[in-house]
Amino acid sequence: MSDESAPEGFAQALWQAALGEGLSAWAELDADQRVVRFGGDWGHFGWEHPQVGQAAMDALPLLLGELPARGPLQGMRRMHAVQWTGGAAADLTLFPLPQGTGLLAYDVSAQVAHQGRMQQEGNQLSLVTARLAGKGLGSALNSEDDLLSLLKMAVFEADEEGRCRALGTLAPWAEALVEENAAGERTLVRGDGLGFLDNFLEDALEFWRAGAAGHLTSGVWCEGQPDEEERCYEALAVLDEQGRRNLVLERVDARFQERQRVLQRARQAHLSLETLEGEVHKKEVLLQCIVHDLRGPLSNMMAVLSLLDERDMERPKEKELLALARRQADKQDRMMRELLDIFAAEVRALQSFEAHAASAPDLGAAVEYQVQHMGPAFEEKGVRLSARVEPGPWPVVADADRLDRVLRNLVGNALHHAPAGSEVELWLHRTRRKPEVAPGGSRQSSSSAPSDATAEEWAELSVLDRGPGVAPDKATQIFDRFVQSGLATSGGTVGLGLYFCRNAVQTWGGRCGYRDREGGGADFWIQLRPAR
Amino acid sequence: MIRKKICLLGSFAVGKTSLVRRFVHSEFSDRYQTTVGVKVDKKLVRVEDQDVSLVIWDLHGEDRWQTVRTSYLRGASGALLVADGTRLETLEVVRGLSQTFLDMNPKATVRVLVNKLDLLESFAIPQEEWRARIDWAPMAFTSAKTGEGVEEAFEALARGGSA
Repeated sequence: MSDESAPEGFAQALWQAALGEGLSAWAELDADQRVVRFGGDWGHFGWEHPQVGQAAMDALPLLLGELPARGPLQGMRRMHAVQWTGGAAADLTLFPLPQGTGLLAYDVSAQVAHQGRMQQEGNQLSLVTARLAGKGLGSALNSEDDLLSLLKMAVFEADEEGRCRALGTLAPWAEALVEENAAGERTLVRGDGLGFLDNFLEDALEFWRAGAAGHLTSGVWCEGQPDEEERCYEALAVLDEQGRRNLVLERVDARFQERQRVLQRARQAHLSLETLEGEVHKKEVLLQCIVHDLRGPLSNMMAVLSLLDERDMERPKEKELLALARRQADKQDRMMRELLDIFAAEVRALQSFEAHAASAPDLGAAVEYQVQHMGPAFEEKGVRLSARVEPGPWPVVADADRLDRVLRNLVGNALHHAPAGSEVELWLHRTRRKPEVAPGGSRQSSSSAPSDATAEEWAELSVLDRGPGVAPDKATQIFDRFVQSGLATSGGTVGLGLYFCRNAVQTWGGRCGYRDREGGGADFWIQLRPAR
Repeated sequence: MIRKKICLLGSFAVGKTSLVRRFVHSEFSDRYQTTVGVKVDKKLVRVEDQDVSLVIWDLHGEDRWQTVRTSYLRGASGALLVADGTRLETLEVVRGLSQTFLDMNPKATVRVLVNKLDLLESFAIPQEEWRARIDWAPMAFTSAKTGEGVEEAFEALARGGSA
């Protein structure tokens, strides 16, 4: 195994979360898709070890088409069971990172080999059953006892009702599954109708009646108490050429254990990957929060100071503006000092909210707050900001601080696109809709809330501007990370504000979306559940 | 005696097998052991002065390596649909499996369990949010580790539903 440099940052997280699970390789790429650092055993996968500064696609040509030539990766990408000449099979994952892209490959050759073996076993079983069907079971049992014994199989013949009579000599494990009836025949013990074999026999009866070729398998099942050896079986239904209904019962303990081992390894790797994804996501959210926390107050402060340059300081309005600028400056200073604390607290805060009316934030008050505090920035650009709020109160399921930030991002977005002389309107009203229970789903470009009797009354806030709106091809992605509206006027923004809004609103069980505004312009809306 | 088939369904590593072990054998192990195929257990419970024999089908977790055969669900009186409180994506699997199960057994009872309550601090979303998102079926929080909510979950299914 080769490790060219001591892992740090994301690379260290990779090292800890993934490399402990088995043979892996990783790399961290910059915005130009060049290798910044790397580690693990690249040779294990048949790949040349990369060089720091080398283009990733030169180091690993299979990335061609997977990585953009430059800039951030849009979401995570996975390539399953990639196999290079002379190397082990790899599951390869590409992660978007704040500064570039992360690449992680881990060995899945055991899973691939296992799938191959399963296929081979299936083929082998088909051959055996074809042989049984072709010869008839009577002759098969006489001449091929050894084969059946080798395969750890017990063979039964079923009647119309699914009663299964044992054929030939049974192995000791199979003897325990039969009982002798009055006619001296040994038949398979049937359970209470709810057991696995009873269930499979229903399928088998249908299969036999249909007269289908080939065989029907049950899949593996296990029985046994914790203090005794677990017994694993698989059953097979087959029709021989004389039309007899044969049930082949097989002990598959060894195969079960192998399959379990392989699946366990695959799933543990999957869990490690999920953990890693979660960590990466938290860091991304953190970055957005910091960017917007720093940017919002600063924008307001600059707008206010810009106004002060043009006016007489003695007038009361200017004193008020100056006081506002000081408050914003203080806030930024406090944030800078607490930056390290925020790193730890931010993600927790994002995942918490108030759901009880007594302590939940009031959306109406939050709207008024934005009108008051964003007013100077609007005034500076010559855009009017107004609010139309239906009678409250408006307690909503949300976190007060994050709700302010959501509104600030939406209003700031409107300000950015609204032409001088136009008006941005915040419209808070009630809408009836069924709660969205599945996660996600907030990317729709239009909203048509159902209004049946069971629907719940939610709060809907529309932020309406008279800007150029969102390009149709961007409308479904506008709440994605790093996506801008596709307008020439959007330069200078990093495209994280709406992504933050979506994450926060979804965390509270709400929804957000975009639709074109009647008469031209944009309507960005959020819907929040009422707190009770 | 009344006999009922109960299925445990959900994504992998959500704790289905641990819930069965806790309920049937009063045992718990921290060691994750993936289920291959189906594991069948039985337990006799007493409900409203009647003995009910529960035949519990612990089905392997649903993922890209294994999918649940719908024939396994036939004849079930109820299902416990298990999600992992620390992994929000397991709720999506539960929703899909719920629909599959009810298509096969329209009169059956389903109950969603958000498991791993002992890891509450690591929950993906707060408990209130889990409740809000699972408003389409009865739900409860459980911990196979501490046993919290486990007996109640199985007994609720023993009381209601029919095949």
